[in-house]
Amino acid sequence: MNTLLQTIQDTSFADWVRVSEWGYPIVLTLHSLGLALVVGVLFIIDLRIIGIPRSLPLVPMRQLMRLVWLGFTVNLLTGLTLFTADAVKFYHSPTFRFKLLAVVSGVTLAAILNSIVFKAAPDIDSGAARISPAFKGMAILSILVWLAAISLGRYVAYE
Amino acid sequence: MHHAPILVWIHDSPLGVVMRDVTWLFPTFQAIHLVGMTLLVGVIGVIDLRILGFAKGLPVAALHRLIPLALAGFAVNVVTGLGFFASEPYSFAVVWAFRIKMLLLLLAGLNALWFSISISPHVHGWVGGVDASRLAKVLSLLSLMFWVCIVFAGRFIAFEGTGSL
Repeated sequence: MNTLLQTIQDTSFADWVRVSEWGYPIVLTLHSLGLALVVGVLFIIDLRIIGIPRSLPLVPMRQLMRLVWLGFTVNLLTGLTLFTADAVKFYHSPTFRFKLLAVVSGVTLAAILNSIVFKAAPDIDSGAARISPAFKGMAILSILVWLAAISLGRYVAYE
Repeated sequence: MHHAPILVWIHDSPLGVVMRDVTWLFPTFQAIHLVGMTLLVGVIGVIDLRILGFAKGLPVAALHRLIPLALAGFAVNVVTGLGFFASEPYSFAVVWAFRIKMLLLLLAGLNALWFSISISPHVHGWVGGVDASRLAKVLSLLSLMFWVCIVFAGRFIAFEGTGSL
C-alpha cells in the first residue's frame, strides 16, 4: 500500500499540486467553495426538515439537491487532487479517516432524506402529511456530521 | 521594526496573546470560520440563485427568513476573524490578499445594504414561480461574485508572504 501511495505522491501531477505557485491554493479554494455548496445547501434542507422555516415549500427545494451534487463532485475531484499531494500522510492519518467517515455518513443521510422526504414533499406542503420525528432526528444528525467533517478536515492540515 | 500603535495594541491584547499561546485555538477558530462561511455563503448564495431564476418555485419571502442564519454566520466570522488578525497583526496588515478581502467585504456589505433597502421590501410579491426584478438580479449576481472572490482572497492569505499565516 505504501508503495502505491508513494507512487501516487511521486507523479508529476502530485508534484505540480505541491510546488506550483497557484495550484495548491486554487484547488484548496475550490474545495472551500464546494464545501459551502454541499454543506450550506444541506443545512438549509436539514433545517427545513426540522421545521425552520415551515413557510418554505419542500417541493421546489428538491432542485437545490442539484447544487449539493455539483458541490460534491467539485470536492471529490479537488479532494482527490489534494490527496495525491501527500498521499502517504493522509492515508495513515486517523483524523483524515474520521473525516472520510463523516463525509460518507453525511452523503448517505442526504441521499436517504432526499429520496424519502422529497417523495412525500407534496403531501407535506399541502398539510396532508407530517415529517416524522425520526427524519427530524436524521436531519439533526446530518448537521452534526457535517460540522465534524469540516473540523476534521481543518485539523488534518495541522498534523 | 516600528509598527502602528493600533497594531501593537491589537498584538498585545488578551485575544492576541491567547491566540498565539494556545496552539489548538487557531485551527479550531479556522474550523468555526469555515462553518460561519458555510452559513453565510450557503444562505446568501441560495437566495441569490433563486432571484436569478434557479429553483424558481421557491418563494423569496420564505427564503428571506433564513437571513438571520447568514447574519449569525457573519457575526461568528467577525469574531474568529478578529482572532486570526490579533494573532499576527503585523503580518496580516501587509498581506495583499487580506487587504483585498477587506475591500471586497466592504463592497459586498454595501451591495447587501442596497439590496435590503431597495429590494427586500418587495420580496413578498415574489412567490413561487414569479420572476424577480432586473435590479434584484443585478445585485444578486454582484453578491455571488463578491462572495466567491472573498472566499478566494481569504484562502490566499495563508499562501502569501511569510508563510506564517
